[in-house]
Amino acid sequence: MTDRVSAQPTDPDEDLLVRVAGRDREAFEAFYDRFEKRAFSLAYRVTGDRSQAEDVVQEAFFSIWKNAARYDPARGSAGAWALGIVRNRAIDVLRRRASRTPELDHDDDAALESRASALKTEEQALQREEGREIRSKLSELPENQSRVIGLAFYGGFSQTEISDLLELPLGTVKGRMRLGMEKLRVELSSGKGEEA
Amino acid sequence: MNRGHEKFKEQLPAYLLDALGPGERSDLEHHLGGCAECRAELAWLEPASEVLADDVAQLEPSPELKSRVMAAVDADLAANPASPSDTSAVAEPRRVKRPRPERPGWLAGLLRPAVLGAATAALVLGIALGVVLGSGDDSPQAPARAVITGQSTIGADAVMVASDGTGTLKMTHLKRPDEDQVYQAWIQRGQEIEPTDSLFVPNRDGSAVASIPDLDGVTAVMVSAEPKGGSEQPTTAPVVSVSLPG
Repeated sequence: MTDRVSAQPTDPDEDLLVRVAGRDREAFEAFYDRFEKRAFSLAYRVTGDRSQAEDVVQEAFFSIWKNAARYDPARGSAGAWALGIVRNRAIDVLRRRASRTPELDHDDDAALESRASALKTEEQALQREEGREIRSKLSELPENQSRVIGLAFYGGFSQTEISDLLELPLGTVKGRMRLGMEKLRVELSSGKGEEA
Repeated sequence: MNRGHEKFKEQLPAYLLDALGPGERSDLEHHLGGCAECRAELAWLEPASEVLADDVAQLEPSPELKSRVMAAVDADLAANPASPSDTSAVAEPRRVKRPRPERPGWLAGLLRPAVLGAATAALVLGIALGVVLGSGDDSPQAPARAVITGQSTIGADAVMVASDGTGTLKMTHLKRPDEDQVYQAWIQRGQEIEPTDSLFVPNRDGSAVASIPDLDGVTAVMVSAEPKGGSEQPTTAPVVSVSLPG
């Protein structure tokens, strides 16, 4: 049996995906092992429910198994691609859950509370992460910036929806999102510089 | 730089966060096609969104999750055999193996009524329905495909799809095992009952799939509830059984 992974270690994840596209079960299992924990953690962060998070991971990885040939290295790393699929599946779960709750009514606090199930998940997730030892890069941002970014990425809310949820002008939400992302990116660059 | 360009550039962070409306997203993607500056800005920003996927508390999933994922893959491999160029994926479908048990004595214990009891006798010894369907393909290379209906003591529906020497046991209406248990698939060859690596819990809708990689000489496939991690021999009576035609 050839061993392309060990022979070409420049990007083992990408190499594994190439083999998965050829329906290589062993490569898929190796790829799964590399991402299982990260995928589950992300899915749980989004859904706030272990059972749903596991269903998300199962569906996402089966999709990866079926669609590995669609991965395009030019559009990002294999890991980012895989975790993107996990995130999208998890957001789908959130949206299905939210669709079963009443529509948002600005004048009805109860409806707002009920509709924003994903928002509650966001808050619960933030609470869960309080006290954990690893340092969240998002939490290092100003709270008003991290909140809108978290609602978008982990809650699946659009800028307009966030504007409604937080009762902020749309321009304010856009500005906070842009500033927060730019700051996050700059800090990543400076962090890499220190490591180097 | 024109106002439209600046507007699109400011939308890039939201684009990466999937926070634009459908119309905004479509317009931005159209703009990106012709704007190298925005593409460069997008590439620069991208790691900020990628890091968010890992910026979460790292948690361990249940041990059964991997079994479920791999069972789905095995079922797909069985149902959709690989093309000739990648037959290795089918020819060698299972690489990770649990230690094979030394089982000179447990078979006798297994077949004792105390373990499998009357349920085993009823299930294994001949209640298979055995609906065998041809593949419909006259090609000499076409694998024989059989669909065999099984039996359950707990109201589940079970169908075994046997093809090219491998089997996929598909179950529905399967209730979840106790919290400290998983389901495990077993195969019978002659008088021997052998464990498989197929450990699973049903999905939320009660569906489950167990893969049987080698049906050579197998006369029955069973499923029983076992402690997490599986057992080397059944510790409870089977809840699903499929008898295979000889």
